[in-house]
Amino acid sequence: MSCRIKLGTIALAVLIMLSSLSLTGCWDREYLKDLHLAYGVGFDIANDGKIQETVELIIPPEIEQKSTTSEIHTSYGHNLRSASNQLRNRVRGNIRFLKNGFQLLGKSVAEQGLYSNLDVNFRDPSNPTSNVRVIIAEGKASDMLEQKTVGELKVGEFITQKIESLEEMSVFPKETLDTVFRFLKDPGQDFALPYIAVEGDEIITRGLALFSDQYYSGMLNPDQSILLVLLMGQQGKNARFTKKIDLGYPDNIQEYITINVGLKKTKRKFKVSVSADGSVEVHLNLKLQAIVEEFPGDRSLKEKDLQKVNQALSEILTKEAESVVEEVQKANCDIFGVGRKLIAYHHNVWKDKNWSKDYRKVQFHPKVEVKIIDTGIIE
Amino acid sequence: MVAQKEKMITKGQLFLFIIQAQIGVGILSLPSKLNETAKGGGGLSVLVAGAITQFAILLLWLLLKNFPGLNLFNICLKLGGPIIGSLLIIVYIGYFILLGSNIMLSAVEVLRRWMLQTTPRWAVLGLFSIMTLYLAREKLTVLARFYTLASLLFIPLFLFICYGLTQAHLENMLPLLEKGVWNIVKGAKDTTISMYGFELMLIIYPLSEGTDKQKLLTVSLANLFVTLFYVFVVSTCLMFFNSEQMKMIPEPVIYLMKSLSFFIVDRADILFLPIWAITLVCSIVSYCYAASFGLSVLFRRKSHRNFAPFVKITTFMIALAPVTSVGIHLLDTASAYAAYLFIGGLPLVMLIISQFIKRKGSGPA
Repeated sequence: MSCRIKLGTIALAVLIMLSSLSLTGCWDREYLKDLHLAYGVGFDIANDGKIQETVELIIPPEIEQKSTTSEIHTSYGHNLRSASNQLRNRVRGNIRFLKNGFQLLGKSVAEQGLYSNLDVNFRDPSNPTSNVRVIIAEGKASDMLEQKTVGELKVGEFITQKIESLEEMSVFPKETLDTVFRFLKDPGQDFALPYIAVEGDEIITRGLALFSDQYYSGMLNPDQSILLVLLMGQQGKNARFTKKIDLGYPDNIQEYITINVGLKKTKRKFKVSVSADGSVEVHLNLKLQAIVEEFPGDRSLKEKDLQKVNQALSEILTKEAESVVEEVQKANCDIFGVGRKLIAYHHNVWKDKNWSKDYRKVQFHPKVEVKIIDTGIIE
Repeated sequence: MVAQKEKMITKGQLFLFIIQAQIGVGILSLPSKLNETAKGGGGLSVLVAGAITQFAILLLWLLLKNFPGLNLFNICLKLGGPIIGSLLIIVYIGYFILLGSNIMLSAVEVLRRWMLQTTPRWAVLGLFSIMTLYLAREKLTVLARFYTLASLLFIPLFLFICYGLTQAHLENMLPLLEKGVWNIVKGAKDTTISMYGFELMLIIYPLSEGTDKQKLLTVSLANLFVTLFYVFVVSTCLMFFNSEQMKMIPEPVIYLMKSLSFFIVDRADILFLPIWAITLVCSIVSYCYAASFGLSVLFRRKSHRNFAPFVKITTFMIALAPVTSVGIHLLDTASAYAAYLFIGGLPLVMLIISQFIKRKGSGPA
């Protein structure tokens, strides 16, 4: 009996010793103080075909209550990882992308194809993807980041805030690395990304960059972008249009009216149908509920005028929607996922199609209806 | 004095025990495997697999019903005599150890791939072994109580996966029958490996309360629950990712977690995995318990307590052995085929022999 207890005691002691060995520390630990956090990353393809990576590092202040400083570094490599490793050789230590808010891709990258250049983001689990925006820069991404500051703000912070607020204004659809990954691999759907550029000291919005498969194929201006975002069924907190309308009074004066359609719910109908001869038709209806934000005319908006305003705006926006769809089709960018609908509901039709060619033959019938439901606190 | 009998587990505990033993590491990679064979029809494949599992459960139940109060190892001895019976027990112990180490290895591989990239395998395996040893040497009632507690963790797991539905598109899964009915049935074969665990009813059946019918119903309900849970998980993944993308992602369930951002949490997969690990621990413990229980029958000891460490050490060694992914895959295939033999083949043979013996026994009388 006593022998048995002794055996148990020894076993327990060994167990405790073994388990305490495992308590000495963890292999996978990283101290924040040892890391260099990259807040913004930009990629370009250099003239010799190498990848150029530009990183904005945030350096924590030596003393508290002082503001952080930033550094911009650039390196070259055969792919992203090797460029990052080059970068690690340059700065004093480990760079991590944990706080990375966006990836800025130069137009050269967008033209050469996104997938091969983003692969590392999807492969390494320590790279965040769920909240990282992908942005296309006109010209070189490095030029934009090398500005270092825009006004008072650090460039990374500026871009992050800019994208977020423009998403709220429905200019940009909300695309992250994850959704881009999904669309890159989807044969039946393409995507559009924010498109920005440097102008003097400022970073301005060019609109949306359209993609076909993984290649840049066209762009839309900011006004068209808002309409596209709405047509895609997305909506920020605001979506404003300023249009010139003619109320049909004898004096023929045209007035500018600004409406906001982002505050109320938008109804969207998206129907893909296939006719007997195999041609694809798409009906895309949008019902917008608008609030008048500015209408500086002599007349106040009475009920009967609203009817006219509604009609005028509907006509204008429908026409614009048609031109947006035309642009999108010209860019061969299946942004609405018509192909996905075909795969799911008309599989035999899909199999006969060569989508990269046949998408342009799809007949779109966009229709936008505007209904003003509120004129603010004055009529 | 009658030898102190182990306390029986209740029906509810039996239900949760089977669920915990069944749900394992397989489901993490299941949607991806099904995407290869059945594409959008993956959910249907799981249903087919559930039905097949139900047949296997029925088979095991018929066997157990013929020998009231006896578990698998007693039945082996009774049918095969001391020598063949002992041999049978040994191979069954081998099977349980093999499956136990396979699950442990897969679990550790997943953890290492996603979270603990620089931690050596032996360390994680060692921690798993100590943790499971602690449970596996206890009585069945203790196990059952722990499993009940661990079942509460299904709620967060379920909610996590539900959150994926917010970004899911039904169109990604359609058309359901794209690959044809035959491939859907073939997909069921990939699913069976995720269904293993119900065979532990061979051990715990005599130790649970209720009549034969009630027990069958309980185990079947557990299987139904697991099947439906799998259908839900697989469908969610198939709707979240498109087929082309899924081909590149071997563990879609965790990737789904990574793609979601919950306000301040950027990588939900790091929250998801430790919760999931508890469910895996339950599976590992069950097999380890079964193996040490077998040893106690083999050596005619009352308690399996002292055999558990040996089982655990063996599992640890086996799980440590494969170094390359080829080795890991080999272990996977080996356990898949072993399971066909030990869940389907051998019990069927035993059932037939038992019928034969019965007829012979009742014939002359």
